[in-house]
Amino acid sequence: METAANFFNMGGYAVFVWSSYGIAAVTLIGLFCHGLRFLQSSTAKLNAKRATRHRNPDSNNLEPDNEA
Amino acid sequence: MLHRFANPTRFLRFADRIQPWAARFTVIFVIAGLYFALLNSPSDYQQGETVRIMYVHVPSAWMAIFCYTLLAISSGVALIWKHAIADLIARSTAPIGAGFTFLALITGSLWGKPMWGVWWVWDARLTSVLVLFFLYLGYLALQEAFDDRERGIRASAILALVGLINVPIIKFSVDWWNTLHQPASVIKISGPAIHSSMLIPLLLMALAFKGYYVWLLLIRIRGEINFMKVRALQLRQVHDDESAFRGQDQTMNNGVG
Repeated sequence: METAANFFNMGGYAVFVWSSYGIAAVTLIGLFCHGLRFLQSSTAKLNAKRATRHRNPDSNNLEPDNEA
Repeated sequence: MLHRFANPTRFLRFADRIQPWAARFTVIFVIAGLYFALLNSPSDYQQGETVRIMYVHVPSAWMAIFCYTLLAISSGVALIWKHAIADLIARSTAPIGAGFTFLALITGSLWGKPMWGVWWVWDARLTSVLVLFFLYLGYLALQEAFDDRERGIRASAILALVGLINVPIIKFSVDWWNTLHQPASVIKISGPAIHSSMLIPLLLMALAFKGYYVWLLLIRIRGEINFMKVRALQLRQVHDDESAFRGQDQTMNNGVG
């Protein structure tokens, strides 16, 4: 228990040491989540774009018109 | 070699292979690095426990410079050879590098207060790193500043290349000018002037940050490639719509004639 208290106390510099590690963790994890969200939104957008192309064949003019 | 990876499909295949290893590498080195940094390394005889801030501060600062150098080089490649993936590497590196620079500044401040008695001094090392942070922000802002994507790429690439001059200034600022900041102690011609019990956590954390960068870079590039495909589809759609419209026009004219 004594050693755990010592550990968290960081020789009286707890505020500086732990806030350094805390800010680093928050920044790096936050940046990572931002990257994941960016990937997710881009994938969703690409899938939506592909879906509209398939649903809307006359926009690419390749399929023959099914006029009678 | 350079142009092999200009192809997004080939790049994605390469990324698929690398990414799981980057993830494992990062997790292992973060755990090992934190263990040594916080639990299994001595306190400094002068700085006490604040020396543990070094294990976040120094790797962040190294990454800040590494990312910027890479950003400038890939910007140059994108500018000269119109290399699509090089631009995506530069674009994806910028926010990560800005994050590391932010961390180097903040942790430096948190280390400076107890050791120097001040949060900040306007000396060469601190100021040049602050300039580096603004260069990252400027790069990010310039990329989004133009409606024409190509112009944004060109303008930001030029800024990145001009800003490269700041990198040696940061590196040698502690030798060229008087500063509170201590001089280099790891990357020295005479070998590292730091005890191995402190060098080990430092290097482990540096590797962890490097792995993190590669992992996140690949994720961001995937996102950029998706958006590239969206833009290509949009362009094709516009083109198809136009030719469909022209086709319609033609039949109308024929009908009249």
